[in-house]
Amino acid sequence: MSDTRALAADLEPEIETMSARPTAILSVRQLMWRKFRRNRLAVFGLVVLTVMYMLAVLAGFVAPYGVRETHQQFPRTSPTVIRFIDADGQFHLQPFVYAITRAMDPETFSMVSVEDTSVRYPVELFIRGTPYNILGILKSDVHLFGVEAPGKLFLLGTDTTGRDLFSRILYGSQVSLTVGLFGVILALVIGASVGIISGYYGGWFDEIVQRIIEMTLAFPQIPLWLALATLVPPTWSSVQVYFAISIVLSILSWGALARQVRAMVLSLRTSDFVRAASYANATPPRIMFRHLLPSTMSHILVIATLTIPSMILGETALSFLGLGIKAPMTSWGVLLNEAQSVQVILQLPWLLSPAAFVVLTIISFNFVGDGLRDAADPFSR
Amino acid sequence: MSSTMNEPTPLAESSSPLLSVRGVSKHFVLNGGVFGRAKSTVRALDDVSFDVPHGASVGLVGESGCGKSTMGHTIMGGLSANSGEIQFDDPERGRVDIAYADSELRRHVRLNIQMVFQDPNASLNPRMTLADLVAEPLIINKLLPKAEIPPRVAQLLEQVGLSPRYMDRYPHALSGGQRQRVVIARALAMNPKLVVADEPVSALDVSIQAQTLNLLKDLQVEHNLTYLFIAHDLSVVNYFTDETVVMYLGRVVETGNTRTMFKAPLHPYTAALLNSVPRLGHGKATEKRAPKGEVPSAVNPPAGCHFHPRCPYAQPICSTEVPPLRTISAGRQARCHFAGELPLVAAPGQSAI
Amino acid sequence: MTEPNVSPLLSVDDLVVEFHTEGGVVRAVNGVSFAIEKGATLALIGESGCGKSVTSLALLNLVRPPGKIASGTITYTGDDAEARLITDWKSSSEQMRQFRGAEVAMIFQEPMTSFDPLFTIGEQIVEMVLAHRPKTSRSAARDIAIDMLGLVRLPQPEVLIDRYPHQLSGGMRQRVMIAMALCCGPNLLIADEPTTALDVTTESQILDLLRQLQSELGMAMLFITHDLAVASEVADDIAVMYLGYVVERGAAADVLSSPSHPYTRALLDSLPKIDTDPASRLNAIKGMVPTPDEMPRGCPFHTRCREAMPGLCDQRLPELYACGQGHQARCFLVDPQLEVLRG
Repeated sequence: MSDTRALAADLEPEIETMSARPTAILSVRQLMWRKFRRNRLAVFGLVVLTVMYMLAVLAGFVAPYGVRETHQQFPRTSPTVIRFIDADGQFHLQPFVYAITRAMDPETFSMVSVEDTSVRYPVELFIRGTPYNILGILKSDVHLFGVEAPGKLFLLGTDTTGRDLFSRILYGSQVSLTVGLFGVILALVIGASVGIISGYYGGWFDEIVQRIIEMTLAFPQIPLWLALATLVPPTWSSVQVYFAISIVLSILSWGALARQVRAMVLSLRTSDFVRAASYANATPPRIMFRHLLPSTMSHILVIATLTIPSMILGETALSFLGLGIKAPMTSWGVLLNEAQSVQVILQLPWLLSPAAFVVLTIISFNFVGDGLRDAADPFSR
Repeated sequence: MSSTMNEPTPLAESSSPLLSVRGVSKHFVLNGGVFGRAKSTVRALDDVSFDVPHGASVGLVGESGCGKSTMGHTIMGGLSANSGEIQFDDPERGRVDIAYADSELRRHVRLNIQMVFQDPNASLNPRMTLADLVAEPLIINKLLPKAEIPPRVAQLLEQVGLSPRYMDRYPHALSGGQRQRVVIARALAMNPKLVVADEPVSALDVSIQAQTLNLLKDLQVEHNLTYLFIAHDLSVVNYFTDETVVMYLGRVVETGNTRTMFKAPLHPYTAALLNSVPRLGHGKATEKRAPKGEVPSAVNPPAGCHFHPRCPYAQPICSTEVPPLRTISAGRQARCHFAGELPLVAAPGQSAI
Repeated sequence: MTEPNVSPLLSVDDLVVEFHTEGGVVRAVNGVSFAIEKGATLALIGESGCGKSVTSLALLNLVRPPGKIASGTITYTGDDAEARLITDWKSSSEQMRQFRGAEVAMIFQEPMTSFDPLFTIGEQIVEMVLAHRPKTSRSAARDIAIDMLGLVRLPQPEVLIDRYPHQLSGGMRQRVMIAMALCCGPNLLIADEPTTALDVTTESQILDLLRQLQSELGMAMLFITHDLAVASEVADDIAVMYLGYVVERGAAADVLSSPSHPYTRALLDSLPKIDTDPASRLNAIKGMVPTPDEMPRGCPFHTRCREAMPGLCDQRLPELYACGQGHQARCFLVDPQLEVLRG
């Protein structure tokens, strides 16, 4: 015993010095975060996504109008211009908008909106308007910004029935941004468990799972979605449809995920630390969920982040075709559904603005996914 | 004909050994060809027999592909043998054959046989703290009530020279030598009788190797451990082990007392290995007598004695007949047709190493 | 009578290589100086992280960002007796590219990673030849390749030349790598742990081969290794490195038989030997190599040194003091003014 003690004493001072090294005390997760922060695009993506999700949660507060609030006198109105300088060339510190009136276009004989430069409405913060509630708990009628009635502020114009597009995009993001999340979580749970089990055990179970995955991956995506979406009974409520669409989306994504997890498990299964665990009598469930799952978790997260965009696109595509989310619920796909004809796009180009939100969100998710991928292995340089 | 299965040739004269391996073979089938039809068999272990006496350190040496690691994993139950017996002298159940143990027996025996791996970076889960890593065997096997686990972990870490204050650190915060200490602490957690150490120091820096070897020796005395020491570095084996088993392409070619063997090898391969070891103090002029050629592929090994294409003493019989593992003198065996008759020296004009 | 100025093939003076990391500047190589004579072998010995590999990369101007050569000079004097200052050349310059391969070539620990698995070894050697001698015809280059494979004692070179790297054993790959390195007739071969990944018998063959080639071709060698015994078998001179410093240098026999730096002594002591009593404990060096970002003040080795003198070794960095003919050690114990320092 005394010999070992002496050796321990030998080692003591150099272990002491570990504390001097900042990385020494960090967990793998903390190391990953350090590495993630170094990727500027990924951080940008994360910021954009955070803002997007905040907007979705606070849609009622940020949106000047309610989701179903129609302004019957003002259909097909182009985006309102926020001004600082009035028609007389005078500068105003507080931005303002002009009143909108309807007039007949003398050439096309259609009604168009024109600015009435005689009436100014200043843009104000924390203005009272349509009542709303946030997450079903916080009731209020104070909006982040707006103009006093009868002035109108249509940041991104209105649709054919006179609803404010900007407000509807915000409300639509509540569905579009979360339908992917729920679908991904579902796909993750199924994909990761199936992947780990089939990778660890192999054999006939693995064979069958692989064939099923190949089949799901071989199906043309859109037609299969369509087929599954038509199975949703028309009598279902919006919430039921929402979850049904999530499930439809995840049915096609879990396979790819299970495959990648399986591939990782196959290589980890013969690694020394898994062997060491089994030589310590660890049971298969313990090996799978205490050793294999945490080791693949960071990669699973990467895959998940990169899968969400395809889910968002899937929802958008389904709703665009009229088979996904249906009115009165709204989503980016539902909004884009209005911009289906070339005529409409030519006359009302602002109806395409939800697409910009879709693009920004998806790019951000991809940036974050790339950043996570680099960070997933914090020990490489 | 002497069959190695029946030959009662214990390495030590004393009581029955802690572990005795008898005629163990392990084949791997490789699929090749376009449709996976062209199958070929690798005989990773071919009729392997040796003993590990109580309290001894037995070295298992050979070059890559000789089957020494396969043997280690077969003893641990990570691989199952195709034939043969592995007798283990279990402290509670007496002699049991663990070559084909059912899962209940295997779980029991693993409390008494533990493994130390070569690469400490790979054998510690990077997402677990030192405390979790060392405590894992205790938790899995329910060896201790929950409350007693942290003090036991602290004690184990102290035994291997690590301060218990760093229990909540992760392996990446440690140096290679410290990580290997954690691996050793983990192996000791179950109070094993036999430790299979698979190249425990070859991934470590020179100055750390000595520390780790010292630690393993101290622990052997303190805990009455028996080591099966798998290694390729003959100078380490010479210092660390009492008995040595030399393997070549899946077969045992020589066994016996380490120092006797290293002074006067019986098998030409053992002599070749010893002559190849780089030595200090011979200067630049040394022309060595390394055997010609390289270790052949295990998929298609030479007929007869596997070593004959590289052996300077090969005779016609060597390419046709597999020599048996024969007892040449007390406690020494060699698998060579001419063992004991060849003018083998460990090194020109000097003892080995 | 003797020419006073026969310059060595390669001389390195006060070389400093720095790595700029988030945590600050780390000096991987700290004022290293050595010279390699024509046809001689210098072994650079040290444990992982001592800066020996970085030094060898610096010789070929291959230190990649965030690392860079911060100061010091590397002078090469080839067959034309013209001294060339390599540290003045840009890493990607044509001069430098020609210099690598034609004057100085390098072989690595793991040959597999140095080959392109999609091409036969013949094609790879031919490319190498053509890169340095563009006027050679393809068939002539192929003949050179076959000759080179024969030179490294590979059997049936004309058959082997059409094999892919993965079809060869580890020892054969290392031979092919040596053939490739030698195909442009370099004056200096840098061998970075060339036998560490090989089996003992193969290692011994490769060391024999390198020695034979060296005497046949008269090239110099910089042999990087952690194994003192291997160094003893190949080297004329030895430089021992620790934490970026050369702590001892001299003729191989001198350094290994009468080591003057406590680190060299401790390394030699810690190796198990034939007369080491198996019942005894090895003389291990205490502690571990500090990471470069926690470089000790004073002598880099004082934290682990048995003979460290408090108040001296932990305060001042010793110089390289002479302790024999061409034998120097960076330790106050061999400083002729030791008594003054202590007093």
